Amino acid sequence: MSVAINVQHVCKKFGRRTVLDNVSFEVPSGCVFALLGENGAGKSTLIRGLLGFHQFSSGAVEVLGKSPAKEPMELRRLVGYVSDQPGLYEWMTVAEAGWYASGFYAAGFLERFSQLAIDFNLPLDGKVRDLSKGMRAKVALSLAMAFDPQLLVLDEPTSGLDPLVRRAFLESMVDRAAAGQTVFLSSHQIQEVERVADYVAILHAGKLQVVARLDDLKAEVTMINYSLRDPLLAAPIEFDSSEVLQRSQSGRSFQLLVRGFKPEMQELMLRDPNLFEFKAVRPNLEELYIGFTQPAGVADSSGSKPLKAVSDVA
Amino acid sequence: MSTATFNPSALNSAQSSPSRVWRHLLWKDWRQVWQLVIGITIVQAALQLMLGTLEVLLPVEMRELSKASVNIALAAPTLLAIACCGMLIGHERQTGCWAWSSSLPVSWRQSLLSKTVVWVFSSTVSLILLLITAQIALSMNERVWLPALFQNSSSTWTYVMTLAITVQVFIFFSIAALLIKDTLMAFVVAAVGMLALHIATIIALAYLLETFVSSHSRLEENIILFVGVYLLSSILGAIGLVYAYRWRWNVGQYAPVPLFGRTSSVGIVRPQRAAWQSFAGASTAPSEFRMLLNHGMRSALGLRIAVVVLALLLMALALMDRALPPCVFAIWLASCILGVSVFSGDQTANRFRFFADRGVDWKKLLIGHVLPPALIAVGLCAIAGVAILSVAETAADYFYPLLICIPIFIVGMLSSLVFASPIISLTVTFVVLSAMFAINSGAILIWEVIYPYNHWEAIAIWFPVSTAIILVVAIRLVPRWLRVDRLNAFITYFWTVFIAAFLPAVFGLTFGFLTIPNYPWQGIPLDRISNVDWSGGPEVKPRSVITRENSGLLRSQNRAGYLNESKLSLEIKETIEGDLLERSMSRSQWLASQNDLLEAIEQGGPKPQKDGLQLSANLSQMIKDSATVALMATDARDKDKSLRAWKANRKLIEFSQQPALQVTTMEAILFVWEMWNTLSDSDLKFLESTGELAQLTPPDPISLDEFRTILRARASIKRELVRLRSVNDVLNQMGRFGTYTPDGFNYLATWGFNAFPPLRWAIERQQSAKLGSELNSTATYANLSGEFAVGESSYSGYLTNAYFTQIFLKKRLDNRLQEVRNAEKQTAP
Repeated sequence: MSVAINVQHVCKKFGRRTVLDNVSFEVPSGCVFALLGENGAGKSTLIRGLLGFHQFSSGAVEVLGKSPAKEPMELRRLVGYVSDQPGLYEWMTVAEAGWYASGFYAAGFLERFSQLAIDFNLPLDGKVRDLSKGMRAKVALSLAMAFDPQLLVLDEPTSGLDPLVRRAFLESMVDRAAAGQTVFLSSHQIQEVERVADYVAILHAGKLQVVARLDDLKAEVTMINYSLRDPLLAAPIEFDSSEVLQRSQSGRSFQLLVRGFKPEMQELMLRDPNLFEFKAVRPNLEELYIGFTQPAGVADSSGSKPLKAVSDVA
Repeated sequence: MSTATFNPSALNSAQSSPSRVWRHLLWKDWRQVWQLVIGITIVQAALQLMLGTLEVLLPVEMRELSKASVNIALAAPTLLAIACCGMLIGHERQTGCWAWSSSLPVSWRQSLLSKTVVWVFSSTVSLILLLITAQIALSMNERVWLPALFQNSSSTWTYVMTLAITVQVFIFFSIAALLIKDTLMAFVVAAVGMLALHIATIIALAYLLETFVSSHSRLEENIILFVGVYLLSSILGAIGLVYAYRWRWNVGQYAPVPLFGRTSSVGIVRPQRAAWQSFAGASTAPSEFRMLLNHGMRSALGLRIAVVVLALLLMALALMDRALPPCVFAIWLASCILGVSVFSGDQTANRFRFFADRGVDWKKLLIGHVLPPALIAVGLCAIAGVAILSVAETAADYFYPLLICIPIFIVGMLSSLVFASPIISLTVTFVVLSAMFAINSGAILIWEVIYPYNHWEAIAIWFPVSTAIILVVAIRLVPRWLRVDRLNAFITYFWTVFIAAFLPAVFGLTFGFLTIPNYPWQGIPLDRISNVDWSGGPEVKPRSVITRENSGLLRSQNRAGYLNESKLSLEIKETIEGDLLERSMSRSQWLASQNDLLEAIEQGGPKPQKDGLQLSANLSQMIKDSATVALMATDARDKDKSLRAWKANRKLIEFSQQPALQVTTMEAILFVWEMWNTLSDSDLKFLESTGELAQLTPPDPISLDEFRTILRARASIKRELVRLRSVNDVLNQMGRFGTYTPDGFNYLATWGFNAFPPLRWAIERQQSAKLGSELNSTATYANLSGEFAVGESSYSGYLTNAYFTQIFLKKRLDNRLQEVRNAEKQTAP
């Protein structure tokens, strides 16, 4: 299986501030890869480094078999990129923006751009300055997708899109992945991402908390809820701290996000008379995300480590 | 797992053809700047044509505008360099377009070259067009060909260097815009860098020449060295630009310069953040106004510091060179940028919404924004005032540059409010201010033609009104600016600056006629003159008739009253003694050398001349010279020479009493009368001892009736003139009297200006004043030049003065002679 993006031990420092700290992962081709993280986690820095907009302080990066630092122009011909703040020329009309960008790609760009613009209901003769935020995002997406790139890198692509368009757009990403193209996106729309992402990476304060196939991640992590009749008595199972991603308590009720929770453990807990209202469910991505990123002190995430390398998962 | 090369469909993303890339890049870059390029070119061309038109209107001696239209053309590339760098690099970075552009598969070389090509193309085309319009402007007046202006090597070098500096402006501003995201800040930093480089170069070159080449070698003589250094610095700058561009293209628009550390990449409102940090430690929350003031102070703080540095550098340069222009330019440029900085900081990325969404009081916001830059501007003006004081020659030189800073600041402020892009607001401010400057300079020139005896500063009294209009509009726009997302106020801006630019000119020229004083010949009260008791001398005469410099005293009183008895003769004697000392000549030798003059007078006096004016000038000079010789001979007690000189003098004065000369030689005769009055008693006694005193003193002035006739004739001419209804009638009248002198008035009259009543009145009054003076002189000689008439506005008053003064001095001399004789009789044995 081929790898679209290969990042190994990447660090990025701005002055004395470390923005990315030893980040490693691989993105297989033909998938939708979602990069999640809180504001300032380093997502945009990572994405811009992948496209050669800046060099990492250390580590090795390869995108579509090319080094972003050494071959940025070749890379940009292969990658469609939508930044978090698409800086389109305000004085251009939508059609002019498409025409301008078409000059740098092979024939066929303009036709595909026109089709995308029609699909997105964009006014071709409307000036960019008169478009809403969502419309601008659609223009930026159309421009990025019009040359049918092998890798689509999207930094907050659905910001400003209405729900219907967002859904349609994200579903089109699945189709792209099915056609062998790769989509690398960062987003805060976790529920949307959950529906389309094949792989998920969670970045927190510059460190990669987890990178895994989404289904595997969900299968591996269980959310346990229970209450204790006598809180002074010990719970039937003392989980290894490395297995607990998040622990929260409200009175005598507990909630744990546990990795590697086995059926026999569940049996053991169900048999404990001190324990009632026991419930074990598969967490959704949002719960996983919170589990991996909640600040220390609120949740016990001392043992959080990347589950597996993506290659292992694959 | 292996890192794979991709499937064949990736070939779809193969490179586009180079010609398409170029076409699209050039299209985008041209579209980015075309409005500014065309706007600047049109405004500059309009200014040139306006100057050319004005030159047609002006008298020959005032036609100095040719160079200005060429300079305007040569300034265009520099303006376009600022506009192109600002729009193609600075504006793209500020609006985020750089991120998209650099994410496209375009190499930095193509991008840089495209921008350079657009700048070179627009500058070249604009320069050619403006040189053509400069030629048209020059041809309007006289057939001056542009190449003729380049024949002078020094001016050619100036022109070449002006264009060469443009290249450095492009290079330095581009580098600064690549390193600094704020375009205005980049512009100022580039200016400081360029200026510092040039000052350092000049100082270093001067030192090197002084040390190694020759102690007498002059910097100006080593132009080749200058060119070499300029080329070197330009090449180094160009290399720096290439590296800076490549780096910025690759790292994107947000990456900080490694030396400066990390800058915010998430659009945090830095001034707010800084303001918050300053308040974070405070125990109580700041008031709204304090917060806004703090924001206003910190917003664009770096820019304002750079502006102060730039202004101080320019002032230092001015003081080094002891020249006023750099100092004035410094304070004007600083005021302009400080004005633009009032709102430009918040315009970027709609930062003003931070305040608008919180419903801040717009008045507090306005004060908070305006106060800091205004205080900085005032501080700079104070420093500039000290600097200008050591250079300025007149009070006008001192005050006007400082006062003009106020409208400059306010225009900048209004521009920053209306135009979201700082570089557009700066460029538009430059263009608007230069247009205002040219329009009002032209108005002042017209003023000087129409009202030659009044100060042009009368136009300046309307500038506060213009400034107030701009200020009021700016203040009224602030709440709108906060209320709406996009302040679409270009039309308001255009009309505001249009009215403000033309208002001083229109009002000044319209109501300027009110400032024309009543000339003595206008409604001259002959009856009052005839009733004046002139025999007493110092009595106050009607002020409106015969006054001098508003002193309230008669002209003769002004002169005679301040003279002590011997001052005039002493002055003359001292002057001649000094002259003799220089020439190692004794007084007797000098007196001997004056024999030729006396002989010429004795043999026939001044030779007849075709030109009456020349004749009267020669005669006047001979009258004065012969009196001076007589004075010196009297002082030397050289009886023969003294008698001879006084007789010659008397002969000339008698000659001057013929109608053609009696008026124009009146001043010389007055000089002689004054000289007689300042002779000492011993001199008078010496002259009386010759027994020929009656033949030596000047003859009696013409009779009062005769003089009154002259005045009456002039008054009747005036009455006839004021009854005339149009300028053309006046001109026809002038033609009838044969005193027609083509000048700007004729053009003004024939160009339809007389359809505008106030201007027509002004022209009529001025023209009739001029005509009256000419007619007065026409009585004495036929071919009087217009120059004489223009130079003697209060000629009638002067004549009246001179006439009465002569009578007064004669009477006074008679009295003194009588006293001397009486004293002589008393002392006689």
